[in-house]
Amino acid sequence: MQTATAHAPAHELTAPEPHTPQKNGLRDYVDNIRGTTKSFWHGMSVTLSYMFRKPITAQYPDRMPVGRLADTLPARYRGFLEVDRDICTVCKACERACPIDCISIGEIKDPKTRKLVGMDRFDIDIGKCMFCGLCVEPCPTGAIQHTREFESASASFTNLTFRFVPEGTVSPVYKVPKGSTAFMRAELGSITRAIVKNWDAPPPPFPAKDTKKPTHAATTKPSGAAGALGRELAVRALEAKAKSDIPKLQKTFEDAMAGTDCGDCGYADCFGYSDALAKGLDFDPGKCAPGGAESKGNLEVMLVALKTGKAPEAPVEAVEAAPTPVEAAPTADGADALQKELVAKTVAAKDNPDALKAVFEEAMAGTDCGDCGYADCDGYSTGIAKSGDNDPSKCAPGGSETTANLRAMLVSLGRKPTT
Amino acid sequence: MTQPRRAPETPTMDTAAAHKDVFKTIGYYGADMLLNMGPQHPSTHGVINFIVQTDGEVMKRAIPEVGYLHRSIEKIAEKVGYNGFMPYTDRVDYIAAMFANQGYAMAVEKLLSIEVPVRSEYCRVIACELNRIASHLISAGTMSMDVGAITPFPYALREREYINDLIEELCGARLTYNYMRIGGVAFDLPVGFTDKVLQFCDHFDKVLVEFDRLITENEIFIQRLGGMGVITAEQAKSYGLVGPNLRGSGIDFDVRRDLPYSVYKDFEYIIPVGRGAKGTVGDSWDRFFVRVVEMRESSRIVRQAIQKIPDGPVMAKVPRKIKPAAGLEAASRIEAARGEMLYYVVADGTEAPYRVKVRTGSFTAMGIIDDLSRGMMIADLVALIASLDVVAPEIDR
Amino acid sequence: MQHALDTFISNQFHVDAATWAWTQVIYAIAIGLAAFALVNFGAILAGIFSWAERRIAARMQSRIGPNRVGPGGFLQWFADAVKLMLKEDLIPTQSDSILYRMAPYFVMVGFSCTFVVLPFSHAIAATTMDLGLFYIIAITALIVVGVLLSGWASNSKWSLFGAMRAAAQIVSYEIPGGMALMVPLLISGTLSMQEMIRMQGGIQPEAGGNFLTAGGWPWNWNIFHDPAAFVCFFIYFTAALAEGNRAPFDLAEAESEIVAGYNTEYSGFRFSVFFLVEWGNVWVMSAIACTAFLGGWQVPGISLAALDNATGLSSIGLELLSLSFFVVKTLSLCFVVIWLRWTLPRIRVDSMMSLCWKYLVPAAFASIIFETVWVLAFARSPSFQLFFGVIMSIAAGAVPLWLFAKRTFDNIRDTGDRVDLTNW
Repeated sequence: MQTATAHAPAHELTAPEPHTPQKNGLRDYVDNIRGTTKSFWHGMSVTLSYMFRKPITAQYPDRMPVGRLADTLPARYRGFLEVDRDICTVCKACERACPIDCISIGEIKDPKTRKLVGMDRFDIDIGKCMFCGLCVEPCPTGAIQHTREFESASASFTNLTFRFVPEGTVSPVYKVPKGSTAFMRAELGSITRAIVKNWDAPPPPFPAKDTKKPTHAATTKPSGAAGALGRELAVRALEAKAKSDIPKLQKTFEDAMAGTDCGDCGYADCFGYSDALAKGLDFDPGKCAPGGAESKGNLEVMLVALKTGKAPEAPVEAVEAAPTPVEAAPTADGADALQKELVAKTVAAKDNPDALKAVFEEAMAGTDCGDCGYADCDGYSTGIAKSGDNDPSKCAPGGSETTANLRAMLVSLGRKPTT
Repeated sequence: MTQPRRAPETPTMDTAAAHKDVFKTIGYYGADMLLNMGPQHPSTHGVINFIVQTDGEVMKRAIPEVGYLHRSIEKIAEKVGYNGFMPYTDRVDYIAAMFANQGYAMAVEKLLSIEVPVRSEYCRVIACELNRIASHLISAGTMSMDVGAITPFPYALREREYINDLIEELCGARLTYNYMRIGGVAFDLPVGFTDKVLQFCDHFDKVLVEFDRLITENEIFIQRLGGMGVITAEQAKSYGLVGPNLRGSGIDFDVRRDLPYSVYKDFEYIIPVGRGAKGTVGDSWDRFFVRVVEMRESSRIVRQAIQKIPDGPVMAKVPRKIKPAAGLEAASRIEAARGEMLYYVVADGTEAPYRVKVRTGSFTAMGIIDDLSRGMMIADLVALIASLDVVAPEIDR
Repeated sequence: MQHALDTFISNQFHVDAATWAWTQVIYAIAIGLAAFALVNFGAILAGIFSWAERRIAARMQSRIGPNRVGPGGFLQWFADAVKLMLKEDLIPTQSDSILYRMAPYFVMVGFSCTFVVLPFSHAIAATTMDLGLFYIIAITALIVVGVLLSGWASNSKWSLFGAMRAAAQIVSYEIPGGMALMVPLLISGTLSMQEMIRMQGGIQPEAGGNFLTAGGWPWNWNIFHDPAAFVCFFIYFTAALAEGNRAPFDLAEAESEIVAGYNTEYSGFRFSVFFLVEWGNVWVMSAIACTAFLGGWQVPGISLAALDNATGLSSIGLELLSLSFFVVKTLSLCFVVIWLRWTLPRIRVDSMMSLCWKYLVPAAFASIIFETVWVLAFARSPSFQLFFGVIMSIAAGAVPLWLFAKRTFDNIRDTGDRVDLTNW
């Protein structure tokens, strides 16, 4: 191998020409004057000639001779990334290719079959992305692409995370039709443009300084499910009502609010809002923005108590906020059951290569990502079933689980897995 | 104004104490002025600091202080894997990123014993030589700006923009190209690209003549640079200078010709060498002129490459997961815009290299500044830095 | 001007100006108004130059330049001036704050005092001081005091570098500059600016001249008087560039070497004073060169008698004509100054000194001797002088200009470009 210390062959390091001494005397003097005049002549004629030429400045963005600049860029331009989730196979090849981990995909697996059923998250942090294009290359369907959009000035930092799967929704896995090489994709740029368009919306309000921090549990509680504070306030409110003590009632209402005097409710301050509630002029408990769901719940409990005339008796049981996770933690039993089932099928199909291939393909993630080195899952399973590939670890989207299953299946066939 | 101008509690700066270490390093004995040129100085070409020990206009010493732009790129390589490191090589020298791409790709290809398709080698040469022109344009433009002629700089940048447009069409980016891949290049030449490149070469050759008339032959420019900052051949060798800096000192060595890589042996071109036309061999003007001639020669190479480019694939068969066997190591030497660039890659059997070492021209060029600066004028120091064409990210990586 | 005021007093107040008690008050008011007008003229001129320089520089660099504020970006200078005045006036804690504050005043005074003798047209000039040229050379030396003060008082190493460079440079270049002005002095025999222009009127009709001999034709200008004067024009121009710290002699504020030189630490209004003076100086040096070498306000074909004796409307018309000739010539020289700045590299300190002492000073000396001989030999023959002037103005004026224009348009053709004046 070559090393940094390897010297060049001797003939390359030729000695320089002998040092020529500087000219001197009258001739040098005259030469200098002539050289100066000549360089002035040429130099100044060059700069003057540019007075009569067209400047090349393009006055971006408002005086461009063309329309949108993004539309004039070359097709290979590497602007914002864009994901068409309709043709995304959730193989996560892009996530693995990204050298700076700015792509984040939340996959959802069927708890029983351990198959990918969809993704609830496909985020790209454009603020972190270095637009290298490495994620685009491994994509089996071309779902992730660079667009020609590039104007990323935004008023809010959070805008720079592109969420291609809206929060709270699940995007299903795209099943690649066998043998297809071209995929219908949404118009390149349309999805990103829609995201960028939303940047113009005002950013979320900055949280008020004195807000009693609403806990996560409080925000997910359905309104009306008040805690101990809500009950206590309701009791106090009922007492005040019984005495017709409007100021005390007003004070009780004010206690349930955030107390920031922000004026978001439409009244001048918290006093205005609570006074209106106490005097029966306003029945809307949801106006206190800084208080959030917590203060809304408390106010609602109080208003209900005043209307019905009785305090909430038992503590309202907080409803479990978190929805049942689609992907339950894989229990050892479940995984074992799947593995046992697959092994059983493998043993059954031992003599039929086609059936065996089908069983192996069933064990894989099925994203046709090509990360294994074969063209798709079909190729890999064929390779294992028919061509004697003994490496169970090639299915990157399936992860360790798939590797374990494949290994068990190979062992059941009496073959020796390489890893 | 009620507030006093001078706050009473303002601590008086004990300069000597503050710079104690520096003084110790440079053998400071108190009679001279100590000047921090940088890191925010307008003409240090990035964040570099020079501690200038001076007595008026004539300097005693200028000590370069590097490391302000260190981003531990070599360490990152040990984490991101073989393919993932390619965009980081763009950041080694962002003015001539193609070369860094090529050097790294060649080293890993050697590691894996991959035969690269010929067409992709030609694509690499075209991209690299265009990039060399762009890089030398920056160098020539900033150098003339550092000696006070501002107009050549926009002219040079205008030509560079045309190259950027071409490269953008080729690979989609204007600065951090990430065009090359291990085993070839990411894209083939786009339709109509060769015509545009030839058109540019025709235009550029004419503009270069104009550029020469405006600045290269300018008498004040020659007065400033001729005979200034002379690096003798012996010095250049002992300091490990590379590329145009080495050739400016009269040493006829170019990796493209002498240790041929890629398809460079298919082309005819001249390796310009400093001849001391405007003073002494190895002066700043020689280094400047070597770059100007190299631009012309690069344009020639691009033309020849476009004529000779064969058909075929642009990517070799490369496994998706690159996992060279443990203990393998490879090095590649290429002639980058700032001189010879060396990539040294050691594999340990995992998906990421065990070690990547980048040897760049700018870092060694910084070493010679201390030696050359003795007895030089402050105005010349600026021109000397510019003539060595150092780029801060390449120094520190 | 005193004469005009005396006439005004006797006409308006029907008193004898020499004995009237309020004469001095009227004088004071008039002087105040004139000073106000001149200082504002200087300020506005410098502002407009800042815009013009940026636009011209931009075009020379294939750019557009400021074109957003006002028509063609013309009001950019006003916007910048407002911005500069509203900026905080920072004074470094460890600076010598009194000297630091004083420096801009010195610079400003040295600059605006030159307007006392600068002519604008046949009649428009603040004074016709007999020692005009001498006065200008003397008063502009105040600027170097201000520059030196600013560099010293800033307590910054970069500022000090700039100030020392400026001092060395301005003091050195006073010598070739002053000596180059001796040559037009020898030709015209006067130090008064107005007189110097009047002497460039050629052969007047009274002396047997005609339309082509009288007035401001190029062959009557001092620059084409003889070879020595031609050389001295360039010597003076170079020296004036150096005294005004203009490129290629902008060593004192060489931004690529010493950040911004003597005004590194200045901000806001004080900084704007330095800038105002830098650009105002371009006008001053061009006006002096125009006066001494390029025939000043002389109008081609109009004799001095016609200008002196004109009355009423024709007097105003001739005044405006001569004013416009002066302004056009001066602005052309200003353009050359700007043009040089955006073409040439900066000269190094030692080259600057050797240029001054090895080239300009000997050349200026030789020119003075040559001029003395020339004046002694040919002063009594105006017709020979006229003949020589015509030859000089063709050989040294028209032919090089034509060749230069050809070269310029060849440049456009050589790079495959074409003349295109759009995209302003």
